[in-house]
Amino acid sequence: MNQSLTRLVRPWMWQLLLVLLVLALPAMPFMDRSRTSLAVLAGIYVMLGLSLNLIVGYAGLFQLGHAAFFGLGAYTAAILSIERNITILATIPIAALVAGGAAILISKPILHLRGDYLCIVTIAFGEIFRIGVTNNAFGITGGANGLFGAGRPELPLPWLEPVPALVLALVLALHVFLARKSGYLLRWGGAVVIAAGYYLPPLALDHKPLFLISIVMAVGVVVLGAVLRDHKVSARGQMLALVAVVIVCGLIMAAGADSLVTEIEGNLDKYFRVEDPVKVLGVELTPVVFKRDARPYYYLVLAFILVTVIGMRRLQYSRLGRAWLYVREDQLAAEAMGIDTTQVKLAAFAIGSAAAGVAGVLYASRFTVVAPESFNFLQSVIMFCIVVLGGSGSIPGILVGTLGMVVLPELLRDVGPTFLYKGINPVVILAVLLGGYLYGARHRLSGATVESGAIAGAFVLPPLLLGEPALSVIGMLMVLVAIIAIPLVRRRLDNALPWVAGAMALYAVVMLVIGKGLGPAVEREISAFRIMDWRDGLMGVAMVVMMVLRPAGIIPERRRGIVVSAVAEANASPQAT
Amino acid sequence: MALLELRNVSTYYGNIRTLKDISLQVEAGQIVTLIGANGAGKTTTLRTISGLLRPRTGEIIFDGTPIHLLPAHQIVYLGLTQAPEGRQIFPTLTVQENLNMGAYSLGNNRASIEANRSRVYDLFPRLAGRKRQLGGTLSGGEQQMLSIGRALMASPKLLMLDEPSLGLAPLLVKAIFETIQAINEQGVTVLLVEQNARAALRLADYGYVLETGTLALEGPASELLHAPRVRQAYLGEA
Amino acid sequence: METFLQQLINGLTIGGFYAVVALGYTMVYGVLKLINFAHGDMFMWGTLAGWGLLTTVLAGLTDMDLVAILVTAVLVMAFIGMMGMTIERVAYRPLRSAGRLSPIISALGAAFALQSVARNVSHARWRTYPQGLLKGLPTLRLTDEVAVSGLQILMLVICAAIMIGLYLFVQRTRVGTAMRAVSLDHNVSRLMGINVNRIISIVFFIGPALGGLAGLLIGIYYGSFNFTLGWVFGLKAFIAAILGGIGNIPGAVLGGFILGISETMVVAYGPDIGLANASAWKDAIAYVLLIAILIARPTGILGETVAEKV
Repeated sequence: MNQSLTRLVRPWMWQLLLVLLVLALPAMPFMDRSRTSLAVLAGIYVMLGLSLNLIVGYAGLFQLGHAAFFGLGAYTAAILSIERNITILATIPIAALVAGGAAILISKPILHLRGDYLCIVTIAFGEIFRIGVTNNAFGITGGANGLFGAGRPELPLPWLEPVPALVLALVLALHVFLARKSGYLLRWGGAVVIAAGYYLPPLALDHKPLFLISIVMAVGVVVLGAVLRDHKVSARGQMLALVAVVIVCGLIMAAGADSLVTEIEGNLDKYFRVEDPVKVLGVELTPVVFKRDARPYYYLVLAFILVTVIGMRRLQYSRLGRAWLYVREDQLAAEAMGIDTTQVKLAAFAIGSAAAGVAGVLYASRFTVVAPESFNFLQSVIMFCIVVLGGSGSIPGILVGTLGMVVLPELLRDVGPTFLYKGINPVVILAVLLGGYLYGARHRLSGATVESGAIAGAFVLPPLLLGEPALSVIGMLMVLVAIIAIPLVRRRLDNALPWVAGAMALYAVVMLVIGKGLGPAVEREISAFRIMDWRDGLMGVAMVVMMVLRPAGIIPERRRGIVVSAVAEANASPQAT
Repeated sequence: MALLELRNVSTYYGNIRTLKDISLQVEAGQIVTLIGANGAGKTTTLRTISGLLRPRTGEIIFDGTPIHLLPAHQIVYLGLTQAPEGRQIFPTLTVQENLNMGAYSLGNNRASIEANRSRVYDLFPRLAGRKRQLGGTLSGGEQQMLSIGRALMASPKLLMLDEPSLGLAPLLVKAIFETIQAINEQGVTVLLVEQNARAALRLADYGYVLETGTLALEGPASELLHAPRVRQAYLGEA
Repeated sequence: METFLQQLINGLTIGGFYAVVALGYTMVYGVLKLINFAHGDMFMWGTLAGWGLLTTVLAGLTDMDLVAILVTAVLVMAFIGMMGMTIERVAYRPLRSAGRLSPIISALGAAFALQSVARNVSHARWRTYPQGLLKGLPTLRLTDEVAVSGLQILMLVICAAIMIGLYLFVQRTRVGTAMRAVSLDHNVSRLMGINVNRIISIVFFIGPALGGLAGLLIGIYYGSFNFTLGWVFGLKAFIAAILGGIGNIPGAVLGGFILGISETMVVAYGPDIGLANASAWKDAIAYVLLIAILIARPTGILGETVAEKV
């Protein structure tokens, strides 16, 4: 039973589920305006994490000034958009060039420095950038207030020719390229199916806005194919999936053509401003400009993340990616193998910084304000933490790192002072704490379970019996002290259980005696407590705790090659004291 | 009772078992040698004894005290010191400071530090003239002398030497081995790890042969010197 | 010429503070090869703790300036020293063998935590030391226009005493030599019978204690501070340590003075040589200096060239 289940649920299904979840996220009921906005910000940080991961994770170089390159991209985009009136997405190549070029110029003379020196020099460059823009260097950065009025993204209206044709050509080229090893049927037959499914329904139904669905379908098919191929699904299976998606999309369009079109046109006005047609290179296009709402940005950023992830993965397994790995693991050996370590490191800096510059353009277009404090050292640290906390070198780790470093601290804003003891929250917190304790003591589970029982009893009884929920806050402190102290006590005593039980009983009795008066006092103290004042401190403590518990990050990179892992283990061999 | 005894000691690097069930004894007053090829686990054995590595299983008893759970620095206080492989002197400390670090476990007992120092300078007169020179500027042979001298500064009962002949000219090797003999005659038990099997076995009272982490052979040194397997594998005779 | 001399003296005083804080960085880097990012914030905690003591418990003693300040100094040093040892124990020791990325994060985390607590303790406001501390000291008039205040002389003397004292401690004593041994090789030091953990704890007491003292002195010298003092000042002090060659004490001192004097000089003479608002760029001087020197000498002015073991 179990086995057949695992055979039915393939890994690619999880990935697909995750992708669908991410796609549907803005439609979730809890995603109000501010949370969607936060998701966009998080997406930009994911881009930054991916770009820094190239430098820190793949090539093993310290970079604590990444915010400067992010800032270079953002300032480049803002200046070009404001001064030269260039549409902001068109500044992407220029911003990438500026950031990447600056990285080459700056890092060339310092790449030979040893690890920690490199770290401090990158901090220095980051600070010089910040001081420079604050002091309005060259008179174009707007000083401490920054620049206002960068343009919002503009895209051509997708269902007016020649856009559909161009998109189809692009998608087909991508499909044919990606499927180059999958046989003629999938490669060319698939292309024909996609083209037919793309053009037929909108034309047959005579509803041009349906091209939007065609575009989504076509892109989706190509991405799906890439995922399936990655997981070694057979060519027949891929073809089947392709045809199924195309037919389902066609049926959807045919069944609900009118309502779909109303829906699309309604949303167009909600999220975009349609402008007068302009001629670009002799082709007439109708620009649609993003409004302030975060949802379109969400998908824009998502598209950029997708492209970046694909690019990073291809780089990682390329010749250059392998060179990075060698340089990271053993620079001397890499040199001995004929790798030009300086060029290889330079490439990491340049590509990573260029990608950060692109993230900067997205940032400028989303917030339309670019100011120095968005690119200070704290930002560099956050990016560094996203990479290392999540697990240096691992792409899922970056998602987790962003959740921890960007999303969680922002969500803290919503946490009221009474959060700690409202409803069932105390029980949840207790469960998490004790769960962690039991996990840490899993080699002696029965004893630890009895101890946990005693702790839970002492935690739950006083607030419950006295009707003073605020007392559970004291209880949380008690639990923390207990789970830190018990292992220390156990080192000295053979049988710590009576002592633990005794201490817990004592705590419960004391609480029951003084609880009636203590409860309101605690409540008063807590309502004066503003969590945002302590946010950085909590983040700092979390950084220390996470590193101590999982030094290699939450989702460590899967080490390639047995030799590498053996070396790593030997280095971490148990040492006396 | 033996001064040092290893009982079924196994040591791991990560999940790779580098020492497999080693049991050996070093009798007080003797010179015992541990020979074997590169990578046989000789240095790992010494690092396990001195506490830099922890055995995963087995026991190590020194002078009646179990030491396999003690941190490395406390083992020195019991009278067990080591001149590590590759000499490992402190290059930016002077000769005198290197020796003082060797006597760290004696605390502020100036009299015995002074006595040990003059003993070392008697054994190695070449060091006496270079007291203020930085360790890193010494020649290879002098560094080896300093390394041994430094290990003697703690008044050890048992001195462990890891490949003292490594990279030295034959004449110097001879001198070093004579000094080891002299040290032993002063009452210090010696555990000598060597690749130069012939010289080691000639010097030693008892010998162990280590092969890929296991003890392959043991016996009085004079017998090992004539054992066919040793002659073939380690003495280069057909 | 007169102003030059005056600026030189000012620069020396600031440089002395940089140097004392840099000592803490350099000692820790020596034994652990770790950039102790929390050091700057411990230094700031010295200023904060000193302010706390001098404005509350010891406020009545200000008639006897010197006694109050001495008591404060001892208490601040003990407190910050303990703080340093605790941070090492909690945030650094578990990561000793964990590679090079994780300790950096842990150190930054410790810095954030310290800064956050300080922000809340001081309610994120600028705080001022009691007026007129040590103002009774005589002023030394070198010429008509150049005067050295007694406070400056006292600061310089204290900083010099700290540096010389620490140098002698590290060079001459048994524990000091053990520190140098530990900074060369942990395992060989263990074989000497040196309790490496204890030596590291001692380093993490002395470095922060001196940093805390410097924090107190800077509080007295400038009169006011806020909780962000530690980050910028600490970073610059660390740069001073690198300028001179990290891991060695004379290097930290040299770097501190170079940095202090360059900053004062650029701010004073910047407008004359075409840097109109030199003071706005003051904080960038340290970074530019750092990059320039590291490009020329990758291990600092007095640093030895060591082949990197990756």
